[in-house]
Amino acid sequence: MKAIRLKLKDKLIMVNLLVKLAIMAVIVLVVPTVAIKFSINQTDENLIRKLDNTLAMIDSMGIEAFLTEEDQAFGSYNILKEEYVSLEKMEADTLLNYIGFSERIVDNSIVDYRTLNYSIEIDNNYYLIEIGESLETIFALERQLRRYALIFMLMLIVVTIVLEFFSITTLLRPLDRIVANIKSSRSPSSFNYDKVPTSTTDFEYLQETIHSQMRRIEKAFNSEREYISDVSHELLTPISVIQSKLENMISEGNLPESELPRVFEARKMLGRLTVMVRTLLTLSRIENDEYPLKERVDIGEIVENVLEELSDRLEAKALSLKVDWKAPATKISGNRQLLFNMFYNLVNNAIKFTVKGGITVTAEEKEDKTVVTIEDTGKGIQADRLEGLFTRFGAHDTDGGGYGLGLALVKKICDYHSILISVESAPGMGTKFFLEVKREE
Amino acid sequence: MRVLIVEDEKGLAKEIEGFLRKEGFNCDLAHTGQQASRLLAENPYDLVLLDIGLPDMNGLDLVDELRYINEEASLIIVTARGEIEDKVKGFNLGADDYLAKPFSLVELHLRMQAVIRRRFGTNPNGITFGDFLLDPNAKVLLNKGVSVDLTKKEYDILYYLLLNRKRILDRMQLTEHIWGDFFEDDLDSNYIDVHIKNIRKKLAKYDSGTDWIKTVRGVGYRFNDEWAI
Repeated sequence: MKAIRLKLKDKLIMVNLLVKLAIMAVIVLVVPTVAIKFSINQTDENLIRKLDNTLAMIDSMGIEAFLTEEDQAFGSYNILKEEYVSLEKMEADTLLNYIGFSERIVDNSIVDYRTLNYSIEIDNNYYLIEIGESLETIFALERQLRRYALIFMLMLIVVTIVLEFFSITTLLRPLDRIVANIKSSRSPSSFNYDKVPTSTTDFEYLQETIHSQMRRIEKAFNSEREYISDVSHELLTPISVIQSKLENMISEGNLPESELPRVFEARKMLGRLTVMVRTLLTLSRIENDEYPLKERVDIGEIVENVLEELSDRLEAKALSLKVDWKAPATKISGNRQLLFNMFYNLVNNAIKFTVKGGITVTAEEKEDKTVVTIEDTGKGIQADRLEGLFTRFGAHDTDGGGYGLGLALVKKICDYHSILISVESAPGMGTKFFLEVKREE
Repeated sequence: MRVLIVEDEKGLAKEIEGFLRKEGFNCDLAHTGQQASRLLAENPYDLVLLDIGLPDMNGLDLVDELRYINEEASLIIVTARGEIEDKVKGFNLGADDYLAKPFSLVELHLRMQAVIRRRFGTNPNGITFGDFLLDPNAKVLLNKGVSVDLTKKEYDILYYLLLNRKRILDRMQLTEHIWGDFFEDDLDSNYIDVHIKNIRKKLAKYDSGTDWIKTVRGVGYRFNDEWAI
């Protein structure tokens, strides 16, 4: 059986409700039955007392006072027919002494009675005394009991559920606040260590545990940050030594010109290494939340700047550029430098892999989102390469010098800004990147 | 012009020194914060090139000291750590520019020129070649007083070549200078060639007899120094 997924508050209320319903069912079923049993016992005692009275009367007044030769049966009802006493002569073969139920027709309707049958022997004659008491009042009581118990219980349940809802909500409020506090901090360094006031020891314990774990994570985070910084220093310093040496070799002009291309090849390789190290460091820094997302950035403006920056490349390759911006101003809080890099990478890639045709940049409004599309008429990407397109070193094309980090960075920057990125491409059909940006008011 | 190079990596410091000496700068080297501190107290430098990743102290502390001793000196901060906060902190403390390792020496030279120009006011005379005059203050190229229609990037490339006129500039140096280091994975693109072609065409309109920009096959370009005055 699949467990029902509910909030703790709702689960508590539900469990309580079920328990109450069970109790109510028991009460509604059992109480009237017990009450009836009890009433009938009472009735029986009454009957026995009346029998004693009747026997005493017969004893003192003689049987003749009730029965004569002509009238061999005596019967007496009280006015409302709630009880009766009858006396008649009987055969001696069966002596009776029991209490039971019987139905009688009174005024054309069947009435239930509790009856006591008792045989006595007077002067060798046997008589049967029958004393009855109507059960109408008792059954009426039972019906009333059942009805009122039901109404009362339902009211009780409604009232208690309302009370429980408020008290449980109040009790669990610290938990909500503890969770909200964790959710509101993007990184351990921005975690708020102020304690949520609570008198529930479980929550206190939970809070203490979270705080101590947070401190540990924060420590690990900081040492990771330091590590990245150290690694970048250790890697980039030797690179800059080699680079400046190669640069001086080329620019000083002491080498014969025929040797220069070889030195330049080495410099180019070093350049690639530099770009890789820098990109990896940027990826790590983003993962470590080192870039503040505090600037108000207009996506349209960024795209415009990127297109302007790259316009000469489009011209150089004789590619057309079509811009169709149909979305309202799309402002988000983000990091301008990162977003610029992201769009620069996408547009630059589009230019790089397109030989003929052009680039189309469009923006459309889709509910509270702006969908930016960057489309090229380039050679497209094979289906089996699309999957790993955004992963590190999952290069979709190394012929053009791409080393697969550019798109990993693009993806990382998109994730960092909660921008949804997707790609559509087929060999020979060009490539289309979609970016869904949620507009902020 | 006296320059102090504060750089703990001796190999790099030596390369920078060699490069800047050729450009006519008088350079001192410091490999530790203490050395730098001592040299700063002893000599009035015009410009300090400071790597903030020093072995014995945070380079940023040296900035305070420099400002206390020598308010006039220009300051260019260099770092391989690339910490964003350091960049901001450096600028707040009054750094004039910032370079991330690894940087190109010609780029460093250009930045130093810009910083010096900012500090000492306008460059009195622009750079002339033939009948052309490049005015870095107005950012225009003139031919006998008539402005030559160059795009911003074309102007930047020409200025870069002129500024380093004795030197071969390779395509990577030019690409990096023009487009910055936006994680470009094809620094050796032929876009530079297209720009050079255009510049040549525009210069030829005024002076068709001279090939001002010389191609260094497989590497890059050099300004044709023989014709420069």
